[in-house]
Amino acid sequence: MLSANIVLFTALAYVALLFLVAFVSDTRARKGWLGLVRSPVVYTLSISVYCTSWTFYGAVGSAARSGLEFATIYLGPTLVFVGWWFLLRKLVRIGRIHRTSSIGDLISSRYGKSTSLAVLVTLIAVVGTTPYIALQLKAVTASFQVIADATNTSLLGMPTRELDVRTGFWIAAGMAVFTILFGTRNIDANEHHHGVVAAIALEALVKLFALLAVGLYVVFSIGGGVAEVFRLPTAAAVLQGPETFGTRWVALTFLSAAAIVCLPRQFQITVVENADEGHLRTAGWLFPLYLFLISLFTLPIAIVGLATLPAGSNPDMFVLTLPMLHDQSALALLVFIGGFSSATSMVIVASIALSIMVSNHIVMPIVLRLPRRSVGVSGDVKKLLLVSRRISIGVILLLGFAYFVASARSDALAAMGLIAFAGVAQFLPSLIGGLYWHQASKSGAFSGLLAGVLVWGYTLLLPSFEGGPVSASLINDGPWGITALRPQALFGADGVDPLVHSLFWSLGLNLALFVLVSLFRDLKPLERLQATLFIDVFRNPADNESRFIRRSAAIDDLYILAQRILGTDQAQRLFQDFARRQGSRDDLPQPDTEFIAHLERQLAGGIGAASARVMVSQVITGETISLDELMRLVDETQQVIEYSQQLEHKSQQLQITAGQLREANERLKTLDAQKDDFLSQVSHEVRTPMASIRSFSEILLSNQDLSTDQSMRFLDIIHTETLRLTRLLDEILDLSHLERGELTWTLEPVDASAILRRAVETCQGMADGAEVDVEVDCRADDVEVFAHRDRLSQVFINLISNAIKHNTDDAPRLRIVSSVLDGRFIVDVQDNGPGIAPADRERIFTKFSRAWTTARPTATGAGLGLAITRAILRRMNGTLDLLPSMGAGACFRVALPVRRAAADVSK
Amino acid sequence: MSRHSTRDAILVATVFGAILLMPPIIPFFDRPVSLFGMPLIVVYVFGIWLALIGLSWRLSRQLPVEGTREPIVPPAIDDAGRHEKAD
Repeated sequence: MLSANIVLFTALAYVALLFLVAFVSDTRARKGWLGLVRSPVVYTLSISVYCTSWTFYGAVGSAARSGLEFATIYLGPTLVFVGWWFLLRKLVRIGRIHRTSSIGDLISSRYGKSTSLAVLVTLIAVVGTTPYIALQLKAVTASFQVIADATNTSLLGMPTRELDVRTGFWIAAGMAVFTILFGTRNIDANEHHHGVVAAIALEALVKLFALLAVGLYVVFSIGGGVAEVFRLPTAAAVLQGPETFGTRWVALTFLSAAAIVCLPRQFQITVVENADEGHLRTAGWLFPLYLFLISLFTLPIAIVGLATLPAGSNPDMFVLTLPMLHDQSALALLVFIGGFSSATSMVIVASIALSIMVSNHIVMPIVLRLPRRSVGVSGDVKKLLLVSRRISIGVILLLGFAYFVASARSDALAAMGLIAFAGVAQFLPSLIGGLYWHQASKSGAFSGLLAGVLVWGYTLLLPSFEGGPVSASLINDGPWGITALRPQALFGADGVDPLVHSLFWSLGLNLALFVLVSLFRDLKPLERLQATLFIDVFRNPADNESRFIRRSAAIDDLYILAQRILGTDQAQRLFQDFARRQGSRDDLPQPDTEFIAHLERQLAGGIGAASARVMVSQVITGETISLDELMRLVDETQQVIEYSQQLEHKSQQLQITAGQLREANERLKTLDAQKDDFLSQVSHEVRTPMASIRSFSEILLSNQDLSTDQSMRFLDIIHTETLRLTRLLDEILDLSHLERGELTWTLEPVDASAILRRAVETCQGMADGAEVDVEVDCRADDVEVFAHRDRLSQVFINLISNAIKHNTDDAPRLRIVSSVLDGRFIVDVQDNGPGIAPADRERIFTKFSRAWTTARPTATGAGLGLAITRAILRRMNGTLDLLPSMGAGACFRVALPVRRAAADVSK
Repeated sequence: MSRHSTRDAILVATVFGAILLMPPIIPFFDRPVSLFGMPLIVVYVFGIWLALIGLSWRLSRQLPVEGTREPIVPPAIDDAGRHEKAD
C-alpha cells in the first residue's frame, strides 16, 4: 500500500540514483571516456529539460480547461527544431567559437561585450526564472500532498497543513546540494557539465516513460480504447472550447518558439552544453518526436479525468489522481517519480544557468570595479567564481522557495509558466536582431529590453499578484483611477486576452525601440567588430578578430591573469600549447594580437566575454581597433556582389567592343589591301604609257636618220600616251576630290530624262561600232532632279559605254529602262554580257576594280569608272547599285530623288 | 538533393508547417467530424506534427556534417591544454 513515507523514500532512492549517474558520468568524462555522454541522443534528451513539471502535470490541466491549446507549448519548439539549420545551428556555432557561457553572455558579447547589457539580461532571467522554480517546488509538494491526502498517511509525522512549506524547503535544499556538487565542480573553458547532462537525460527518459505508462493505462484500461475515450461526453466539452484557434493560439505558439531559444536553461543545454554541431541533426527530429510522445496522451487523460474523477478535482493532478483512484500504487509511484524528475531537472539546469550568469555578469564586474586588492594569487578569480556560483545557486533556490511560500495560498503559480515565457521572450528581438542585422546596436538592445521588461512586468507579472500584495482596484480601474493605464487594458485595449495583450505591448515596444534606437545610433568599433564576427560566423573564424584589434601586453602580465582565472595547471598548458603552435621552443608564446584574442576567448568561456575583456584590458598596454579593416570585412559580401555585377557588365561591354574592333580591323585590312592594289595599279597604269613614251623618245633621240613620217608616227604615239597618262591622272584626281567632297558643284534642277536620251545618243556611235543592239525604254519623261548636268551625263555615258565595252556575247544587246518609282528616278542599264561574279559584286565599285576582273584581260580603262560614277551619284543624293542578277548579264541601277515629275509615261 | 535544395526544403517545411498550424487554416478542421475514432482536429494537429518530424528526419540525414565537432574535451581541469592540442 502506498504511503507518503514510501513515496519519500522512493524519491530519496531516485535522487541517490541520479547522484550515482552524475558521479559516474563525471568521473568517466574526466578520464576522457565520453562515449555515451556525448551522443546525440543524450543531447536531445537533455534538451527535454524544456518539459518541466508544468508539462508533466500542467499540460493535462491546461487540456482539461482549454482543449488543444496545450499543444501550442510544444508546436513552437517543434517548428524551431525542424528549422534548426537556420537559427539553432548559428547559435551553436557562435556559442562554440566565442565560448559563450550563457544567453546573457551571448547578447552582451554581440553588442560590444557590454557589461550593462549582461547585467540587464541576468536580472531579467532571474526575475523570470524565480517564479518558475517556485512552480516546480509547488508541483512536487502538491504531488506529495495528493498522496498524503489520498492515503491518509502523514509524511514523517508532519501535520498535512505544514507539509508544503517543509517539503518545499527540503526539496529546494536537496536540489541545491546536487546542483552545487555537479554544476560547480570547475570553471570550465566551455562550461560542460557532463554529470548533470547525463542525469538530465536519465530524468528525461523517466518522465517520458511515466507519462506514456499512465497514458496507456488511462486510455486502454480505464477508457477502454481511443475511440471510446473520445466518445465520452467530456471529450466534446474539452474540444469544443470557444475560440481555441484565435490570436491566443498564435501568440502561444510564438511564445513557446521564443522560449525554447531564450530560456536561460534551454540556452545552457542547447548551446553551451553542445559538444558537436552535428548533434543538432538528430535533435532536429528527435526532440520534436519527444514532445510529440509526451503530449500524445494529454487529451485522453484530461477527458477521462474529467469524466471519472469527482467534480472539483484539481485537473493539474489528474495524471497522479487517476491511477491512485484505481489503486494502481506502482503506477502512481512511477508518476510521482516522473513529476519529480521533470521538476528537479528544470531546477538544476536553471539554477546552473542562472548561477553562471550571476557570477559572470554581476559578481565579476563588481569585483573588477572594486579598488584593486593585493596582487592576484594564482587561481583567486577561479575560486571567487566557484564560490559565487555556489552561493548564487543557494540564493536562487532560496528565492524560489521564498516566492513559493509567499504565493503558496494563491493560484498565481498556475499561470507562472507562461508569464516566465513572456518575460524571457523579451530577449528575442536583441538575440535575433543581433544574429542577422549588422546595424543592431547596444543602445538599441538595451533600451528595447528595458522597455519590454517594464511593460511585461506591469501588464503581466503585476496582475498575477492580484488579491495578494496588489489590490484588485489597480487592475480594474488603473493606477489612481486612470483607466487608460489599466495593466490588462493599456490605452483602452479592452477585451483582449491578458497574455496576448501583454505580448503585444511589451514585444512591440521592445522591437520598436530596438530598431529605432539602433538606426539612430552609430555603432562603436567593438560593436561593429562583434556584429560582423557573429553575423558572418560561418565565414569568419574567430581568429579573424586579431585582424582588427591590435593589442600588446607583457607576457608575464597575461600569464598572471590566466593563472588567476584558470588556475596554474590550465594556464600553463594553455600557454605552452600556443607557444608550440607559434613554433617557439620556449614555454611562453609571443604576446601578439592573435594570442591575446585567443586568451581572451578562453577566459570568456569561464567568466563571460564582458568580464574577460575588462580583465584583459587591464594588462594591455595599447589597443587600436582597425576600422578600415573592419569596414572592409563588413562590406565584403556587398563588394563581391557588386564586383561580379560590374564584371558582368564590363565583360558584356568588352564583347561588344571586341566585335566592333574585329569589324573595324576587317575593314581596315580590306582598305589596306585596296590601297596596295590601288598603288600597284596606278604604278602599273602609269608605267605602261611611260615605258612607250621613253622608248619612242629614245629612238627619236638616238636615231637622227629617221624619216619624217616615222618621226611623226612616233611623236603621235608619244602624244597619245601622254594624253592617256593625263586622263588617268585626271581621273584619279577627280575621284579623290569627289571622295573628299572637295569639288564644289552647284546642283540645279535638270531634266534627267533628257540627259539620259542625249547620253544614249552620244554612245550610239560606239554601240554601232561594237555591233551592240541598244534598246531604250523611256517610261518616264520630263523628270526634274537636282543634279549637275554634265556630271549626270558622265554617269550615264560611263554606264552605257561600260556595258558596250565589256559585252562579250555573240549577239550583244543593251537595254536601258527609265522610270519613276516611289519618288525616285530610276535608270536600269541591262546587258547580256558575262555578268559579275557574286564575289565581285561589291568590289567592282572600288578603285581599279578592273584589277580583279582577270576573266576579262582584254578590257581597257583604268577601272576607276564605276567608283567615280558612284561617287558622283552620291554627291547628288543618288545611288548606284548592281541589281541581283536575273538571267544573263549585269544590270546597273541608277536612282535619283525626283524633284518634280511632270508626267509618268507609264501611267 | 544538393545541400542548397535540402536547406530550402527545410525552410519550406518549417514555414508550411507553421502556416498549416495557424489560423485561418487550422479552424477549418475544427468541426465535429470523426476520423479513426478521433475528432478530426486532433488527427489533423497530431498528423501535421508527425509529418514535420518525418520530414525533419528525412532532410536532416541529407545534410552534410560540417567539420565542427569539438575535439574530445577531456577532464575539465586540464581542458584548455589538451583541447588546444587537438586543434
